[in-house]
Amino acid sequence: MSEDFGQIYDQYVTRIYRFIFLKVPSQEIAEDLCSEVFTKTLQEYRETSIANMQAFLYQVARHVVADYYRQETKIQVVSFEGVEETGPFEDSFIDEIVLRAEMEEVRKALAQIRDEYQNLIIWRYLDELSIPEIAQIEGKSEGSIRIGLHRALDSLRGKMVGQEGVPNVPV
Amino acid sequence: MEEQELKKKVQLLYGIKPREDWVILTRNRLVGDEGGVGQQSLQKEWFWGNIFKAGRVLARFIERPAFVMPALAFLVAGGAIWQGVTESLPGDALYPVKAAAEQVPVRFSAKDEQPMREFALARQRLADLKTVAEQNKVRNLPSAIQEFEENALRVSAGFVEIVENSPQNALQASRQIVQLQKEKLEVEKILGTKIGLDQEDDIENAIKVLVEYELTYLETRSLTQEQQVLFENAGTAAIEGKYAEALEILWQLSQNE
Repeated sequence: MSEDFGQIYDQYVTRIYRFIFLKVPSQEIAEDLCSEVFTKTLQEYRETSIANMQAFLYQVARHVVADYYRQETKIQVVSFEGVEETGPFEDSFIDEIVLRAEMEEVRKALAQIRDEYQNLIIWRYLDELSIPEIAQIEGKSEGSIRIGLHRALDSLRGKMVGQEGVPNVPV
Repeated sequence: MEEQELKKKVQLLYGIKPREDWVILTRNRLVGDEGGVGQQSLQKEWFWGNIFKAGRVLARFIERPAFVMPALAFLVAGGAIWQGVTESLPGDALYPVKAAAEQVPVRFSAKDEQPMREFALARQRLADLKTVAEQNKVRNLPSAIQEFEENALRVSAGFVEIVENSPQNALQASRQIVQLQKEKLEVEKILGTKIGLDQEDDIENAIKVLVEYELTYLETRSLTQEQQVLFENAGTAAIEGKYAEALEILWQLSQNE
């Protein structure tokens, strides 16, 4: 059973971590909360059968983040310092700085929109979930998810345009 | 801003990934026990299979004079390998040999000596884990934690057995347990996470039983003034639930006899 859960963990840990990281003030908190998500899921996995693991994990992640903010009333701005990046970002130092600045810009904009819009954007455009999958997580109809996504993108666009012209590159 | 451009920007956030060592550590804490044992036993099986094959080839070669020099060279290389074995850490290819060699004295020692030998091994595994953590050898970390936890489980089982069956002999063993737990705390500070949680409750309960046994026993004994002070301090610590501290005091008291 643990071996199966190991596969589940491998499959979802990065997505769940990223989902949480985009909502909390630091890498350490994201790690703690992500551990909590998988610990809770493992307990449930041992006791019952989970029909839709992906939906279950995201639901637990949402509750864990909500619990965190219930305890922590003060919301800080997330910094990308200490975030590990891989892939195409390692070409050069300058590229990395530019990329970090762009990431920071997107992240800040994302942090400013409604939580449900954040979720929709993360699920659809980062985790690449299908509309039916998102509908299952949210417990809503596919139509309302489509409308929600449209509004979420509009909202994000508004925030990003609002940020334009503000120098983001760290000196 | 075009929708496609916006989506592209959002996808920059793919770069957010958890730290590799954290991922491995958390995985190990969640599912490491069962998965890890499989991996270790496969590793051991592979190693001993290759040793056996090499031995058979060597035996054939050494019968012929022309192959004496290569055989000697093989032995010299064997010495170098042995050096590697003794310095290996959990997760290294040569580590199963070291682990197997360390088990020999435990297996062949008298039953009452075995717990103390297991303590020594657990401390060795903890030292390995500390080295792995300090040198940031992420790949070795799951195996090192698993090895320590397996040893710690055997130690705690042995300790619980001593406390239950012959508490009069348990004080010495308990000192080792307390020491092991102190060293474990240091390693946990380096790792930034808890390890070996499975056996903590058992150990705590066993220490509690032992402290209560010792306190009851000491009540029937005539004590010197100094011993009486220590006895009372141990009792206070036990009432406050600080059983490890009470044990330390009881140990001091036993040394005053």
